[in-house]
Amino acid sequence: MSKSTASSGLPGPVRRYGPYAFLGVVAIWTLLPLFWMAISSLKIRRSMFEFPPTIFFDPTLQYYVDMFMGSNPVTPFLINSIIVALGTAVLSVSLGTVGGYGLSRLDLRGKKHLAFWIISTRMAPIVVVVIPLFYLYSYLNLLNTHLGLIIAHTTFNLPFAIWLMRSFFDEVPEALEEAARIDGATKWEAFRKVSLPLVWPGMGATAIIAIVFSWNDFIFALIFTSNATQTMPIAASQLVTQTGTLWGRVMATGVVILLPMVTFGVIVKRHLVSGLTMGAVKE
Amino acid sequence: MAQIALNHVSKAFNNGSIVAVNDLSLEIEDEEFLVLVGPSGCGKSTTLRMIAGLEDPTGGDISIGTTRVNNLEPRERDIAMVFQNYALYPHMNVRENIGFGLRLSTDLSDADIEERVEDVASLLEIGELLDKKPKSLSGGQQQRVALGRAIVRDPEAFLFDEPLSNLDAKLRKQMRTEISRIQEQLGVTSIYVTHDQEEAMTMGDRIAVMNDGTLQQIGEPNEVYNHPANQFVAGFIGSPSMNTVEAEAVRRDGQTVLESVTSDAFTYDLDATGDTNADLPIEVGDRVTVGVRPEDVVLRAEAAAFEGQHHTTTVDVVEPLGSDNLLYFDVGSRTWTARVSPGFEPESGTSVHFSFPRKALYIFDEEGTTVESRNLADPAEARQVTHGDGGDGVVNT
Ligand SMILES: Nc1ncnc2c1ncn2[C@@H]1O[C@H](COP(=O)(O)OP(=O)(O)OP(=O)(O)O)[C@@H](O)[C@H]1O
Ligand SMILES: [Mg+2]
Repeated sequence: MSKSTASSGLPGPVRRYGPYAFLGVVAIWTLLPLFWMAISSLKIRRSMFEFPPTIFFDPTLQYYVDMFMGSNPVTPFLINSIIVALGTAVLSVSLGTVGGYGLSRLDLRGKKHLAFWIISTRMAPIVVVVIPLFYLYSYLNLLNTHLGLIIAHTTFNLPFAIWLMRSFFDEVPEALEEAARIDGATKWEAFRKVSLPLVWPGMGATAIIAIVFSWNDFIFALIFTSNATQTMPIAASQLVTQTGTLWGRVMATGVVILLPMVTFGVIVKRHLVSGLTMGAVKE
Repeated sequence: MAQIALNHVSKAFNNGSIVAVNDLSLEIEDEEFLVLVGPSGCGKSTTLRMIAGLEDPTGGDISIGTTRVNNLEPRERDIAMVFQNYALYPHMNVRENIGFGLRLSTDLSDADIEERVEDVASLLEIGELLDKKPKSLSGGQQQRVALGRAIVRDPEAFLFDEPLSNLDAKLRKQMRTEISRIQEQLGVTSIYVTHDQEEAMTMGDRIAVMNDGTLQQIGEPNEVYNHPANQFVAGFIGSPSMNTVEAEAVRRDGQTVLESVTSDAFTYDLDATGDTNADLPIEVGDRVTVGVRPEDVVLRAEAAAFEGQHHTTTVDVVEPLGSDNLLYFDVGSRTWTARVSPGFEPESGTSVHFSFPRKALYIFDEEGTTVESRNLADPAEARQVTHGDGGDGVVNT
């Protein structure tokens, strides 16, 4: 005991409880605003700004009712968000799988440079490309369409999707496909029946990442959409009006944006972790 | 069933900077078991992969049966391959693994496929594993599944790429026999790649020895062992390796004598035994390499045990193998090995005497080509040819 204490240079209790204390601080740091948002969405306006904040109060579901039943309901925004997120996921996963497979298997000259170029497109901040893309979109009549937003989101997800899928395919021994081809499979069948089923976790992880990006995106949605295609983050921003901010509904909308992702996250947590690490760790 | 022919086949990688296979011509007969053997990197796998259709040759023709297959996809060649790492499909159970090829390449009904899978499984004694995933199987079991996957399709030919190298020694021996047995039973033309010369010797109807992408020799195991085409084959086939020493042919007292170049510790009088050397194509002044198989070296504790020429040396190490002992000693700065009977176990550092029959001698010219190989009908002859006077410590009694 004393020996190991000396070697780490920290007293025993610090070493034992330190990590938990640190994680606790991080958890509070992250969760407190969300908790605040959640309880605020249940408070009437007056008590929302009391200081110190009240923990025990009469909860109201008024904002949630307003959000779905009142003027300017959130439902169309929610539907748009779902369409765009799913579209982005499908497109990112399909193209990412094909691109990742190619990058993993093909014997291309300058493959490393190609791979770096693909990921480097992700390095530019979104705001840099939004304006040129806006002109391009208006020319192509993609403004204010679901497809336009899906393409924009996919463009930004794809580099990561390709890299992720590539690392998954790298883990699938080529001999498996060769064995399949000798067994009577075409190249396509070998891909479809042998390699693809083995990278399911990777496709899942890629889909999650795409959905999260698309669901949370604000800037593309703000610039490329108008009434018919706006997504949830825009709905929240519209509650900041000239006559004042509808804090209650902002909070409630925040909760509605957050809830599906949290639920989703809890459900797929295991797959996500195993998916992301499987690519990195050799069996 | 079919014969396989390679006609001046070459394979270069990286725009010709790596020549993996160089002008290889081979014919494997119908139902033959050919072992392709050679050191690591000599192009064995590349050769096999070209036959399978996984690599395109950069030159030459490959045919299976009467068809030239150069332009056929692997699936059109009707061959089966067993990989070193088995390459079992991890997401399928054993049943699906074995049946995969049948499902893809035949119109058999599910019931027929099932029946054939079960037949093969019972042939390989893996019937109770059919519903397991490869991951939960031992190496030996995975190996059997891989074999089953090849057998079930009843192909024109089996290709094996070092299928046993991941198994432990005992299992390897067992599977060796089993593969030979199955191949014989099914009569399927087979090419078996290995870098293990012992595997080659025991399994092959014929063995083809490769080095550096080039075929060195092809022949029956005994022929390759007794009459290697060159020094490389001589050294590669046989374990422990053949003993060699570099020598020069000199004339002394009217006799042709081979004299070690590096030290005077070794001379061998070619004429002394009375066998004529009339047809031996070496002349006085030629540099040659002399070779003797470890089992042909006769070692005695007493010099008097020899009638004719013999040499004296000091024992380095004795390695008991149970069935016999390996004795290491120096000859002309090379370490030699002798395989002796287990009763003969001198202390290291002891002086011993050795000789070998004239008929056991291999001689290689400066290019390494064999100019003379041993001329013993069977290894046992070595003992009889050598000075019949008994005494303790006679080799291989
Ligand atoms: N795809 C490739 N690209 C470049 N060089 C290759 C490729 N495949 C094989 N080689 C080279 O060709 C040569 C022969 O390789 P091959 O795999 O056929 O050897 P091998 O006899 O099977 O060896 P081992 O016993 O180690 O399996 C080696 O020098 C190897 O580096
Ligand atoms: Mg190999």
